[in-house]
Amino acid sequence: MSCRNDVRDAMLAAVPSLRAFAISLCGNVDRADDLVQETLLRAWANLSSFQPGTSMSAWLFTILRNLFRSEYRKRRREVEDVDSSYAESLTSLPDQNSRLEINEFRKALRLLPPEQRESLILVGASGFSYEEAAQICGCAVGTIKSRVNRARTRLAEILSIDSASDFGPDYETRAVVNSS
Amino acid sequence: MSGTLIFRMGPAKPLADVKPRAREKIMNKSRSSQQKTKVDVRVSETVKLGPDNKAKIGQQLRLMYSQVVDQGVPNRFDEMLKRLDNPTGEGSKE
Repeated sequence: MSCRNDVRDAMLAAVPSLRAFAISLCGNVDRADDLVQETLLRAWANLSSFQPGTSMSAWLFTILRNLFRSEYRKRRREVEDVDSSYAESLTSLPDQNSRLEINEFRKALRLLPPEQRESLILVGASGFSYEEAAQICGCAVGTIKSRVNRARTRLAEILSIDSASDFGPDYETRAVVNSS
Repeated sequence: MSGTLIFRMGPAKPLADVKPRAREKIMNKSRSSQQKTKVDVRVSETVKLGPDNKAKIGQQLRLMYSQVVDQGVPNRFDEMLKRLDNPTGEGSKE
């Protein structure tokens, strides 16, 4: 059936972004990939509830988020297993500085409340509109907007504190003086 | 010659008109002030995270995300989706 093939192609096209979202939610690649797989199976089994003409990608994100949240509730008591070797496995970053920087960023992101984190990622990285993000998270558009704002403010605080203590003026000046 | 370079950043008075002893003083002075600006620039470049935080955060967010997106579709999902219509491997169920 060609319409099922179309659906499958649309699902396949959404996989890279679904993975990125899943990894940012749970911080662990293996868990994220399991989550994506479960999402695709769930979607396939419930194709009849997909409304043609709406965004397949937003629908899949909604399913993934719901799966993650029910799993998260079950696992809340467990220590969060953030995969630290994950960042090192990504080689696309040009130099060590940006790798360090992105690691810091990832850590800072994990300090945010889950609702703020997911809202910021959906709007700031996945490319969804506030309206679509609200639909995915099942809340009001205004709620998404305020979560995104709070997430940005908090991240800026965390990151500027970190950069001041780790790579502040003293560190840099010393490096310059020593090299001359 | 180094004199021409320093002349451009240094004193307004042409160096040729200055007495040799004073000229040396001016040259040393301008050299050390040059070094200072260099240090200042390096420091401000790394510390300045402040005003454009929002843009910086957006950029990091997209970079982090695109690292995963750029990996494309792992085989695992490709194969899984191919099997969906045909779970047992024999004929397709409509």
